[in-house]
Amino acid sequence: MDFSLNEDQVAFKNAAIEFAGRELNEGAKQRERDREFNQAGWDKCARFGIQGLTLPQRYGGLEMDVLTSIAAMEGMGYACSDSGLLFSLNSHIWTCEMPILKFGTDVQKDKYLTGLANGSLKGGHAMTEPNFGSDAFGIKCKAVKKGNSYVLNGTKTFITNAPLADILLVFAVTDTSNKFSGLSVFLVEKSFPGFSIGTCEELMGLRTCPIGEVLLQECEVPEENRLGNEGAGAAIFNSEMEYERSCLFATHVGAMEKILEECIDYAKNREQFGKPIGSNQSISHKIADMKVRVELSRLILYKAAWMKAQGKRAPIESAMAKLYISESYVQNCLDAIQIHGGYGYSTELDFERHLRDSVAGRIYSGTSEIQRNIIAQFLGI
Amino acid sequence: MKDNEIIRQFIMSELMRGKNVSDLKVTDNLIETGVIDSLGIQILISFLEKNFSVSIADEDLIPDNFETIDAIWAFVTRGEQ
Ligand SMILES: Cc1cc2nc3c(=O)[nH]c(=O)nc-3n(C[C@H](O)[C@H](O)[C@H](O)COP(=O)(O)OP(=O)(O)OC[C@H]3O[C@@H](n4cnc5c(N)ncnc54)[C@H](O)[C@@H]3O)c2cc1C
Repeated sequence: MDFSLNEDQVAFKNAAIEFAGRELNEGAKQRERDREFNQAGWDKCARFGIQGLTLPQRYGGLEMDVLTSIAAMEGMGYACSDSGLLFSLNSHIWTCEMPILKFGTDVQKDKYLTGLANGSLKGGHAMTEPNFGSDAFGIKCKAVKKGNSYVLNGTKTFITNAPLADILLVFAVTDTSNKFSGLSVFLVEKSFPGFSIGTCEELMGLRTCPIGEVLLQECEVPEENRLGNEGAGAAIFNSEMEYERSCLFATHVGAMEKILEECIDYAKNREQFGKPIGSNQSISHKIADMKVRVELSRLILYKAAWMKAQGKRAPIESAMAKLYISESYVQNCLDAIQIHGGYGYSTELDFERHLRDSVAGRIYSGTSEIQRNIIAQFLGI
Repeated sequence: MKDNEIIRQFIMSELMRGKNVSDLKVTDNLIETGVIDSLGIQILISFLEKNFSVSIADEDLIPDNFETIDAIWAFVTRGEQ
């Protein structure tokens, strides 16, 4: 097992850090207050190649392997203080582009991947429903075959990118007698009749990310927009979740690294009782623990991504990565606030924003409790 | 020598724990009866990859390949035919 980055990968990660620091942060605080998506930043990311990181060159992508892609996203997380934009990009890449690339027909790939890679199209996926979150395979959204189309009826909620999305992977039931094998996936365009967007609850964090409800009322989807076979929904979802749980959290590791550096700096320079606060063991040990969490998060992230790059499946590794990184991010944010005292709690510094954003990571892509269930079941418990 | 009995044993001991397992037949529909669900299939695949030295792609995780023990057996031994 070797997942050390080579020179090119390090150079690309550094380029992503330089790009994000230079281009994405101006006005980020105000946009966060205003819950405003950074469209200009999205366009700049597309020009840099973020939306096309993993896609083949024939679709205008950079065709990077998974490890290089997460190294770049880690760099983005380190330097970009707009987690909402990063989350939007992540959802676009891992929950829309990847499944189309993996399961799409040539026609579907030709139709959508170029636009998704150059950022002119935005994508996401819609599984969660008001009454079915963790119990994802219990969803009720129905797709009924009618001639050469399917008619979809249902409501999806908490859907990342929905308010701005051009295309969403919608999971729906095609066979009500089978919970697990009765699911299918449809590539639903915003222009399809019967498709509309509603508003979601206001969220505590990720405020610059567009998240909304999807309403499907007699929504007609042509048969050629079914992704995979009828009944392939669970396989597609599991595959997609593995990528998301392995790769989406690269930006969190980058953010944790940045927070750690700021804490080290503050502990060395902030003086109380005539000495740096870092000379107190209670502070230095907190920082040591933060460092351990950053390092272990990176290790499990790279291991899971390395397995995906080898073409292996990584269900338990991706669950562990998702669980450990998301929990560590929250803990490191809390520690950073504590180390910075009253200033840490203020909105002037960025730690409270990180904390609000970090909590979402314990919920989306399957909650921490669900990841523990998966790990335990793999252990035969 | 491996045969589909090893698959049957695994499903009974790991995926049907706590249920009445005495009469699992190789033709029983594992999906309709809920024996294999979204997580169960992943656990089963890890077992099959390890024990049958096969590499199973995400694209192969379709219900047809996992409906019955017979179907699973045919799927993991398809390269040998
Ligand atoms: C910021 C954000 C973005 C999101 N983006 C998307 C998206 O793009 N697409 C999409 O489809 N969904 C999305 N979601 C939805 C997300 O996947 C769900 O919120 C999540 O799966 C949990 O479902 P729920 O909110 O209904 O909580 P519930 O499932 O109702 O869970 C409530 C609590 O009960 C616990 N619980 C439930 N079942 C069990 C169990 N068996 N064992 C132990 N504990 C259990 C949960 O862990 C949780 O603590 C997003 C959510 C958020 C917050």
